[in-house]
This record gives sequence, structure tokens and C-alpha cells, in this order.
Amino acid sequence: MIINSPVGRFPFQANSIGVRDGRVRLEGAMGTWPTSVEVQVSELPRVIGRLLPLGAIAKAAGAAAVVAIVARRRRRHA
Amino acid sequence: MVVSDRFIVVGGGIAGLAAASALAEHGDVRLIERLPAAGGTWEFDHPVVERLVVECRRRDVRLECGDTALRWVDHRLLVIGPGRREWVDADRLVFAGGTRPATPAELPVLGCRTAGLFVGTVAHHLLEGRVDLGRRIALCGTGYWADLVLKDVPAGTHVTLVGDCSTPRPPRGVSIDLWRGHRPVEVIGRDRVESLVTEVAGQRATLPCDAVVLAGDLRPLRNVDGAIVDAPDVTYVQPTAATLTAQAVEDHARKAVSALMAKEAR
Repeated sequence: MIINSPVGRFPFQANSIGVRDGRVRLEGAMGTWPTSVEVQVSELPRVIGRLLPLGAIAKAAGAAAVVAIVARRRRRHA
Repeated sequence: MVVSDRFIVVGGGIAGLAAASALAEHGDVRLIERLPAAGGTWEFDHPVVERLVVECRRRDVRLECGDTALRWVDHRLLVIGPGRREWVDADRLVFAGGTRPATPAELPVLGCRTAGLFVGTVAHHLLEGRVDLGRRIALCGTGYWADLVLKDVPAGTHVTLVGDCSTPRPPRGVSIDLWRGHRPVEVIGRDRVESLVTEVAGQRATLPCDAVVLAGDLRPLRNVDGAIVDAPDVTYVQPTAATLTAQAVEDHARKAVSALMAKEAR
């Protein structure tokens, strides 16, 4: 991994990842400096939303709606 | 004369790494770099940097990245870093701390120190923070700092490149023109820059602008107390040519070490 910042561009070596107190914590080293990145679970949807293009979100929402309707009908017919 | 065999190199760019590698043939070498990875302005994954890091490790150079050298006195260097405050003994300090653009006073550029006049380092940081320097910028000089400044100039800005500039590729929406061979002489303006007077072949010209960035005429960066000015137990490895290849910087450093060791041998 590489970290870009106003101070410079540095290698990041990830050593472990885990969830603690509702946070995803990535531990490693940026060059010689011990470094960790913490992401709150509540932040993830917003971050992932930014990763996905709008079309993909619309398609995913559409697919989820279709699956929900099919599942509902199956339950009715069962 | 005392022959040095304990060296400290300050600066982990190509010049510092090459000097450290060359010095390792003559004694114990420690390299101090303030950032957490070697490479300096060339960055850690430049092929020459990667090769020199491997070479230094093979020659038992101690690479101490992420720590800052503060003061050189009585053959001791004060080094601080996360959880570290240490005086390191050495016979000689080899300083490879890079370069910076000249200030208005050093060039010299006459006129008031009015708003809109920037040294390249400051201009670069302001532009990174999305601060507009002006709409008509006179960018003086060529090389690393000029390139850094130009790449962050926002769309809608007109930049006039003043000096021995190559033909750059401006960012999208930025228009440029070239005043080749001109050198900045005087800044005109009271509250803010209004124009820059330049000189070429003994003739003066006036360039209307609202910002002037001085990004050329590199000077050695000196930031270790006790090694600011030339000292007998300090060797400086700081090539100041505006455009140097990585190989040229490495060659410069190796030659500087050869000259140093030849001098000590006499």
C-alpha cells in the first residue's frame, strides 16, 4: 500500500486488521513509523457509497428490490 | 590530521544514500532521515533510490528514517524522533539536506515585500491547500519547485514562465506563455503585486501580474544548528543545478566523498 499526503508519498505495510469497539482497525507501519487507521462502522456505508458509481448503486438497489419481491411471493405461495 | 572513520549522513535522498554507500568503504556510517522512508524528493520507489537502499544495507549503513537531526556540536549530533532523544558521536557530518529556491533578498529582487510575492516552497504549500495565489502568476525559474507549483495552479489562471524554462505541460484550463532568458529584477506594487520588472540582455521589460513565485536559483538547504555555514568537520553534498538527473546527483555525491577521503589521506 502507498499513502499520499502533503508531507510526501510513503509505503504502508499492513500487519493486521481487526474490529474493536465498533471500529475496523488496520495496523501497520508507514515506513519506519508505527501507524494505524481506524474506521467506525457507521462511516463505512458513506465510504463505500463513494467508491461505487451511482449506476451501480441504482442497480444494486433494483436487484435487492427484485429479490425481496420474489422472496415475498414465494412465501405467499408456500 | 585525524582520519575520520565514524560518519553521520543527514538526508536520505539520492545524494545522502550515495554518499553513505561510498563512505561505508571507509568506516562506520549512520544515515539520519527525518521522513519515515528514504528517497527525499525522488520518493521511496524511484529505481535509483531502491538500488541505493539495498547497497547501503549490504554495506552495513545504519538507515535511521523518521528521526530529525537538530544540532551538531563537538563531534556529536543531536537526533530526536518518536521516543528518541540521542546525542550520536561521529568524526564527521556529511550533510545532504537538499535544496530550496532562493529568497527575494538572495537573488536579489528589489521592491516592497508586498502581498502576492512568494518563494516556491510557500507557493507550493498554499496551492496544495487550495489557496489561490492570483489570476496572472509570474513563475520564475525551472526545475523541481517550479514543476511542483505549476501542477497545482487552478484552472482559469494565466502563468508566465520567466527564466530558463523548458516547454512545460500546464494543467487543464491553465494558459501559459514563456519569457525565456529573462530574470526577475524588481516587484512593483504597494499593497499587492502589480507587475514584475525583468531583465534580458541588458534590456528591461515589465510583466503585468498579480503574483510572483520565485522557484529557481536553488540554494543549499541548511537546517542543522552548528552546520549552517561551512565548518571543518562538515561536508556538504548538495548539488544546486536546477535540473539534475538521479544519476547525476549520485555521481556528484560519490565524487564529493572521493574528494573528502583524498583530502583526509593527504
